[in-house]
Amino acid sequence: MMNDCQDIEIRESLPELVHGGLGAVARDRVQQHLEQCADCTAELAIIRAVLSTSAAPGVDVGRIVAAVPPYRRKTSSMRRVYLELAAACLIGAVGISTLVMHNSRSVSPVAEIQTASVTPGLAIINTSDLSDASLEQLTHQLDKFQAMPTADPESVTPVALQDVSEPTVSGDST
Amino acid sequence: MTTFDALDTMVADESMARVRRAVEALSPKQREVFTLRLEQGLSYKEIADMVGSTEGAARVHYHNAMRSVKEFLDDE
Repeated sequence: MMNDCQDIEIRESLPELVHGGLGAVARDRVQQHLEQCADCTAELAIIRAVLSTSAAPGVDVGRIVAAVPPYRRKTSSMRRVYLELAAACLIGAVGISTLVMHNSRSVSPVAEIQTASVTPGLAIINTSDLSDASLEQLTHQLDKFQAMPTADPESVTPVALQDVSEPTVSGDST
Repeated sequence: MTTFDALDTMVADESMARVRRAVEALSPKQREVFTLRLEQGLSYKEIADMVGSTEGAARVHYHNAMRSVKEFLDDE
């Protein structure tokens, strides 16, 4: 609770103290009084706060908001036409792109599947093209690999197929 | 800026806003005399000449305004 100090002369001097309008003697007297008077100290704080607020003008948000005109949605006929045209263009673009994508996929689906299923580096052997000798050699090599002890047959099988196919193809070319 | 600095700034801003509201709550005559006295540093005689009043009336307006500001800040 802030009260008024009874020393009216000191209170009257507080604005001058802030503005530097007091002489040395009067200033010292006021300073000594302030050290022991909470009421005058509080009043001096108010004076300084008022000066601070006047130096930095506050933003009256309520007044600014009140000054802003109310929002009104534009409902002009031209705007509606533009929106409809934009929607039509968007739908057309989506339809055309869908057709293009569908046509490009439907050209050679089998080729695409075959390309995707072939693992690079893994040769596919058509045994009908092999001669009897080559087929027998391949069978012999497969038997040798199957005879090898393996801890994990599933992980070894693709590598074994790849290793087997390479010498067989090279044998055909010679 | 540290957290404490930011907090101090918030408290200072709120204090300034409260003081501003307290001054705005004054009557027009009180606010005029109060601001002329504090912001311009004018004497009661100068204020009386500016607002077309007497020196004693200016003094009364000032002290009434200061009391109102204190009460406003106490109540908030």
